[in-house]
Amino acid sequence: MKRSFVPAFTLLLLHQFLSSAGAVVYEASTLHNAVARSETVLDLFYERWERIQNMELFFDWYGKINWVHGFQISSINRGTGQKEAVDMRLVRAYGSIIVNIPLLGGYKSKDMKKRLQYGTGTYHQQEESQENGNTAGGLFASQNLIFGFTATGFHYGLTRQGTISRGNAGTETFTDYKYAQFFDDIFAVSILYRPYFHIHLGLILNQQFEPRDDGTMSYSDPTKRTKRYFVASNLLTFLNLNATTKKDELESVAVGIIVNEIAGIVNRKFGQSFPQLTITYKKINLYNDELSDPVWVKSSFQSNGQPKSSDMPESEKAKASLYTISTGLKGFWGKNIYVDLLAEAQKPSEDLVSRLTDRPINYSAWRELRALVGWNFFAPIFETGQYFVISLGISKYWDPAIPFHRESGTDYYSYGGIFQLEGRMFIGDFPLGMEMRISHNYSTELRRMVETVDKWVVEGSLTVSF
Amino acid sequence: MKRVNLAILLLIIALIALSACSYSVDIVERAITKRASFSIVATRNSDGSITIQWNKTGGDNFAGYEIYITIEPDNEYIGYAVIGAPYAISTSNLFRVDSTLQYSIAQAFTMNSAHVSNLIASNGKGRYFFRVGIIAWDDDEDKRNGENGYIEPWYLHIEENYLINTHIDEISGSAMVDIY
Repeated sequence: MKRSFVPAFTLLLLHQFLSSAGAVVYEASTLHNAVARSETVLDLFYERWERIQNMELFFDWYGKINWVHGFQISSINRGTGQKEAVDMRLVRAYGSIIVNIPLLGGYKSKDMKKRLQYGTGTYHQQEESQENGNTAGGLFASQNLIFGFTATGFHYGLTRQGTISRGNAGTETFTDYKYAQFFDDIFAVSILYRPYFHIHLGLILNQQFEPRDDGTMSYSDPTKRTKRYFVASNLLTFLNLNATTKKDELESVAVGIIVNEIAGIVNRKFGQSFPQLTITYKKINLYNDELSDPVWVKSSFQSNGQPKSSDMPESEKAKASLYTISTGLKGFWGKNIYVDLLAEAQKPSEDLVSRLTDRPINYSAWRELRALVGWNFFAPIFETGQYFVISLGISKYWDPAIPFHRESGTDYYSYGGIFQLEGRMFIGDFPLGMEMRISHNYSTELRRMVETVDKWVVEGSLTVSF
Repeated sequence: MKRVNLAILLLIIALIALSACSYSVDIVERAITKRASFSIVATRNSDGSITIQWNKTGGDNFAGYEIYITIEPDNEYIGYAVIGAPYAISTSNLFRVDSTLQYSIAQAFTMNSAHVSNLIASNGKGRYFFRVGIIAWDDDEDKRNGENGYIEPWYLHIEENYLINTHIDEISGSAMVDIY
């Protein structure tokens, strides 16, 4: 197999066109890697649940559309039968709904707006209200038993935009699906009995569809479908235990400690006055000698001396896990300052060989470093449950797939930045949240999809939570 | 009674799940970006004419169908221009009005041999791609008034209003025909 340095999407498309001829082409791609995609959709699941628990919400609806422009894809033009570079857009659309039903306890007051004050840095109010005998505490007050249901969906795929002249009626644009489209869903049930435990049990459904040549697509006939199951739990508010399985394989496992909660045992105010400090250890079976991996595990040769390839027998495929340990600090510091800091170290379980160079990779000790700081312009009215934060962040992210996707250079790491707006305000009594992000090589985006390296990412989202 | 409540609860949960599944978010995004949503068939007939067929009908604010063709031969990725519509929206010599396209039940458009000859004379022979657009009024019928930019009464000035108060509601995938 020839290993040349070309953007992975180009290779991906070559694969699409050449696979019928028996050609073997490498596709380093988060899109095609269901393990990585499952991690992505689970991270979003956790992100929403973290928000829900912080803000003690009955209901959370979240929708996000993320467009990445500037993918120059070598595609066959059916007009000529020749390949040419075609400008395409990567689409990522995400939706999530979470409903929490109190089985025991719960919020009793009719004033939902007042309840939303909890979880916005106003813990002292909660304490005061309890001290004053006010029973209208948050949804997740101590010894409330809550049943939750979550549905989360993620669509990824490439699209191409075209134009249509309607004569004197103007010009409009349209889009076609291009190449494989990926649909990942999580369906989960949750039981929360705080402060003793909470547990999420769920199914992750990864599906892949192939669009028709005419740009349309049917949802009825996936070409690939895999199922995974996950459990995510928290004991005594400070210990997180998460695991994902596929068939008989434990695909990932994570253990995390929320330091604030331990500190809170000693001094409750101390534990709740600072952004959440977490330490997380994770093991994920990330590299499996699959077509979508950017590395070969242990060696680039099979036991018979032949180079490894995507069509080698299963028995020749080796597996490697990635171990990571991270510490993060996230949340409001007082009413004005918002921080999101993370440092994550990594180590693979086996030697890994680059598919670009055929040489062992000198794995960086640091996978991700990021620092984001924001300022809340609604600090004077923060205790009403409203906020508006403008943030700037910088990051460094290391991944063996980066050289396949970047537009220049051969480094495995990339520095990035982000500008984001996030807010929530009441339209009447209706709480409406919004986020807008513009980033370039920011680590959280590269982590979700390394294909976005060296590209601008624009993202908008809306939230309805109460 | 408990069974009814349980059934209602399960129904609500099912609806919630559907509303946030990956298909639903794709449906929202594809509506925003006007993704090709139905297939069409284009056939070259023995007399040299070309017939475009579809089996998708318009929605509540349906205004008509429009037929588009690539503006150059042998280029799938070039832009499209209208060649057929229910009203006179183009002055191109490749455009013709077909009043049947104003009806939602229409399911075909034929480019007769003279029309095809015009195309060859203007743009040359080669492989062309067609699409069908389902056109909708920008507003519900009771809001098609002067306040919303319509010439009133809107139905007596339908051609003028069609030009300025309609949009492509749905667009088909492409269908190609070799024209030699």
